[in-house]
Amino acid sequence: MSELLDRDTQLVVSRDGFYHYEVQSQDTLTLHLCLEEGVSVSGLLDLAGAAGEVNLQVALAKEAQCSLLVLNQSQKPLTVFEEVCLKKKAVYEISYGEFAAAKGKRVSAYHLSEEGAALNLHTAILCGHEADITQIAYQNAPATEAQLSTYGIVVEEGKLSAAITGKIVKGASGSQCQQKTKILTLGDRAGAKVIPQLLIDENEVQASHGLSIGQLEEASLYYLQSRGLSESEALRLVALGYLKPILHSLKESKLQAHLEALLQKKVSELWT
Amino acid sequence: MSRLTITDLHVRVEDKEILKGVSLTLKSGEIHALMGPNGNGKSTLLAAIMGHPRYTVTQGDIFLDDVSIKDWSVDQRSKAGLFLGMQTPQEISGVTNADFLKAAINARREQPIALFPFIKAMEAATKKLGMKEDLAHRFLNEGFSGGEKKRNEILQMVLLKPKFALLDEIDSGLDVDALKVVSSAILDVYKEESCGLLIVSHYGRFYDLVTPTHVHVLAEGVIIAEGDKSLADQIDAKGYDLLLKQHGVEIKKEREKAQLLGTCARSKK
Repeated sequence: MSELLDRDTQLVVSRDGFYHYEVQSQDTLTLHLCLEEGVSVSGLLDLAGAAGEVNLQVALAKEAQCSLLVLNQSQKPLTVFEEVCLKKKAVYEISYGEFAAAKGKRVSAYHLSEEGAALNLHTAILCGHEADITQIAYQNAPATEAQLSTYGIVVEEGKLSAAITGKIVKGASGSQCQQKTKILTLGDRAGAKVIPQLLIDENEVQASHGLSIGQLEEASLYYLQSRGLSESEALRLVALGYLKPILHSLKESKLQAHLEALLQKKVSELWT
Repeated sequence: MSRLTITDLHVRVEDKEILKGVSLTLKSGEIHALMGPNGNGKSTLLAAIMGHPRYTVTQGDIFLDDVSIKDWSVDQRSKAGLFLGMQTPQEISGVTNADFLKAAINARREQPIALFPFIKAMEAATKKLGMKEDLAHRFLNEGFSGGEKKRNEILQMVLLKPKFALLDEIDSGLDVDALKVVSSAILDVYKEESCGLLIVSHYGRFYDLVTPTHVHVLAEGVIIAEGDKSLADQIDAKGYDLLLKQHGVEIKKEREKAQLLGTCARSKK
């Protein structure tokens, strides 16, 4: 059962559990989520009924763990601001399924402010409109870890702009930051611009980034078709292949199944 | 008994005519070797039969069981029973071999294949081709060695059970042992499905393992000689020169175009 969020809400979570919220707001809504020390939760935040602006303010106390799937299927323009603060050894696993039917913007800032804090950010985007995504991980303490994975398909007249930044400050020794971004543009009018950045002011760190943006080659499509797949079937297969890695980021099997069914549906709608 | 018939096939790629009237008939249970010097149209013929969009048939026709397939899409031809084992198989990131093969099998079935029979068939084919067990979960040809790619082509052939398999230099990149494994898998499909094979290879060793019933030599876009396995042996021993001279064929070497240096000067309009 899901709970409706239609006004500013503050949630202080002191018990482990699973939470499911549906945002219904056409204006501005703020959700404060605070996890107390050692608490472990997972959940689904559904933004299908959201428009305007949604603010997510998340704070994880020492050794708290949060595994969250945010689904954006908004039908109207939506801006999401996400600000997350992680204390000592807190773990924040956030997966964004970005399938909005209107233009959208997201600015996510993650502050790994104490030793051992960890961020796992996975984004899967199916973009047929304008989408502007900014994701920044501030690694302000030693032995912090940030993984930022972004997989996307841009179709029709979609325009994706993404800035992905990992910042490791001086003194944050032993920290790790990995960025992986793969974007496929399908169609002559689809476009993508990605700016990956690693801003590092400490020597004892491990950091890497990999980025690929490209179109499906004619030869690849021919290869798939030569095994009996129609053009639509081939494109569906390739698109799912790009988006499916997000499933591995989800620990809850019911969330995995829910998202997998949604991916199948979205891809099938595009290539019938 | 199925029949693949090529009649007077002329094929252009961009502005260049590559095939200038090729005719041949391939029946179920026959193994045809297509030989000839490099760059004379062997791969073009195979790609044109499969319906590659870059190859334009300007004259002639292709029939499968007396039905013209010249205007069919690539996937239609595949579903009708044609299979092309490619010289350079594509790497497709994000798509696992298992997902791809399941989709390819389902494309030619009314009811999707159930998971268990699919896994069983995939495991058996993987074992037959001597490939690693993690193949199903690896992305399609991504990071595969040349030999692995060729084995994977034949693994697909094993699972898709074509009426006619067109194999374009499927033996290149294979070591001696791998060649035996691949040849054995090809022959298994050939025997089990009684399919027809049209094979392009430069190596007599491969034709010793998969013995052709018919041999065609293609040069300058036409078939200049036909025969049985002894023709392949003769070519393997003596090369093409004598054969070309006997048939009065001179291979035209394309003049290399002069490389023009670019300029940073702005042209005045």
